[in-house]
Amino acid sequence: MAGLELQHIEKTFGRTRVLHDVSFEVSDGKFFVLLGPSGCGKSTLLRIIAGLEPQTRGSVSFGGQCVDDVPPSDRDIAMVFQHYALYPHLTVKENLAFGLKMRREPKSVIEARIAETAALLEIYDLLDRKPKELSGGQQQRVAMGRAIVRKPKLFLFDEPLSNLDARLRASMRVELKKLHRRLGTTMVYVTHDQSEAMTLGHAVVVMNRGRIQQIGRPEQIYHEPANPFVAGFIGNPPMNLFEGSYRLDQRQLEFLMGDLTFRFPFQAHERIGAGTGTATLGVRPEDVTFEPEGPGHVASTGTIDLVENLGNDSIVHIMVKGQSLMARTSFGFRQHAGESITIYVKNFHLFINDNRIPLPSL
Amino acid sequence: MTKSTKEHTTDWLMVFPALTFVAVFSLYPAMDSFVLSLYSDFPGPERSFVGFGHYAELLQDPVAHQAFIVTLGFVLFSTALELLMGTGIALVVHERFRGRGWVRAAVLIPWAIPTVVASQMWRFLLNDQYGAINAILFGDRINAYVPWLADPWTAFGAIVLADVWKTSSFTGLLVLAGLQVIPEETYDAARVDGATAWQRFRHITLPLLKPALLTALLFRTIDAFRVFDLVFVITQGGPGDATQVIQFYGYKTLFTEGRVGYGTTISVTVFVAMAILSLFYVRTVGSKLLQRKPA
Repeated sequence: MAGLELQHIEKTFGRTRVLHDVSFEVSDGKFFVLLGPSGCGKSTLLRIIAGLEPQTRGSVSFGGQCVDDVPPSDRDIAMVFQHYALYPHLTVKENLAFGLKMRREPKSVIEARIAETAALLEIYDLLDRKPKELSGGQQQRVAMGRAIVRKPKLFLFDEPLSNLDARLRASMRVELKKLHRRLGTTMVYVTHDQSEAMTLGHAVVVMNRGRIQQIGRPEQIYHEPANPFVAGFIGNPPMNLFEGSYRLDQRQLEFLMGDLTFRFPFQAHERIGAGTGTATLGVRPEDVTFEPEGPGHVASTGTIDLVENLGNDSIVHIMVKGQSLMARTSFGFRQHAGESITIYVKNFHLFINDNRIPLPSL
Repeated sequence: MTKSTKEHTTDWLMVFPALTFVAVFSLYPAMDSFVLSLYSDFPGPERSFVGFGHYAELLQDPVAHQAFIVTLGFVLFSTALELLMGTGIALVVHERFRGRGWVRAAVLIPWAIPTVVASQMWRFLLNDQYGAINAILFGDRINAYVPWLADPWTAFGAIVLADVWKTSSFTGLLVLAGLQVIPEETYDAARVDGATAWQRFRHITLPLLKPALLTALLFRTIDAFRVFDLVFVITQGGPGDATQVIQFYGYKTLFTEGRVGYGTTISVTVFVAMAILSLFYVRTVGSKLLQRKPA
């Protein structure tokens, strides 16, 4: 199979438009993540790819072939659902066999595939059990097995780990990654969990309110967020975002917020001409330090509001000139609430008209 | 865990009203019926104790045998058809379509009509001279009009038809409740797995509907066994004894012939048969239903 291509997908339910002009391409064998808050349309998009939901406009192609009129059963895909959707009246073995039986595969093939899949996922002991006799993690494995056993061209995952506890989720994430490496099949994975997106995806699509906000590699999305939404959505704790205004002349860009002014050397270009307007300034908590690490780092003083100790690192909430700011320190932070502190900022993100303005590094 | 005496007293006080109600209105009449069945037919000071004499008579009574067979036939046909129709109705109103609310309400109308009224309606519809069914089938050809209720087979068919018409929506309701608890994701999974519409029905819907179907079966067989009013209004058991179900036979024996002892014997027998059947259902089907509760 070659990749997956979506062209100008639109979807409306009644009068509500849930997807606006969504287009992207997934090349063969890639792990592709659709990331966004709940209600952003990512699951609907996955259902459209599966053929379970017809799109209102636009088209879906697999390997260059338009599949708009192909029913889900003939798309040669497999899907893992959020609530697993195992067949409750069938044993694990029968669950695995279901899809193959429906396709009238010979019995010997079915047996062999089940054996292979059970070995791969280590669910051999569960084969004769009914889904209700399995734990959440085991059901998850079986759901995965039911997808793998068919050897589809494309895997679709709809928040498959969201019903597991944190520890299990972390270990399944690792397994999923290994599984992908082993199978090499294209996977499209829907999640609202940024850590899943960052660790699993070759590419991530960030969606909000039915629109694509950014497509890119995980590190790209993290380091160069395209707009304030992506900036605020990715990263834990989220990026500090400050609303203010900007003033741009030939040589420098100023960001103004209350009494504070930040100046950046900047070349005006065709996208942003000289002038003024509103802007958003972003600072990642990990880009705030308490020691100067470079000559150009911006310094300011503030008061510690609260310290959250997370074990190996701490989140420090600081009030700086009436603005609240979060900083992340990696080790042994010893100061307490109420004390004053000097902070240094290594890196800024600036957004004008909801678009990222690349700033020279400090 | 042990309970204090005080808690025990409170427990009993709480269930006392319900227990009294059951004792006075169910237990006592049932016991009294049983006692009545052990005495000679005519109540009063001169009645004599006959023990299980009436029961022995019932075993030998050809009319009772016939009535029992008619009842069984009625149970079999009406229950089977009602399950079939009910499933059909449920599948239709489970689908999303414009005006579904209206259809759902309309489907329940026959069930909401009192049985006596519905029976009377069917009696009119099936009337051999001015019935609507003859009019629809034969129009002006009055000579072709069929006396539906005068022929043993069509008369039997008529009471089955009336019952199916009236009660299918009830089974439909039970089956619909069963359909609604099957998660939509299960069907999505089956579609992705390559199951056709028929395969989805055969391999997903039907097995998962089993508890609901069994519940419907349980209610309907027990209910159909007790059929009385339909027969009373539509055929009076006729023609001959063709539609005389066991409850109607009991009623006739007791109230028309005045044989109190034998009449109650028939009632008690039906009661015991029903109790055994219910117990059997609860033990087999019921326990399965309870097991199906999610953990």
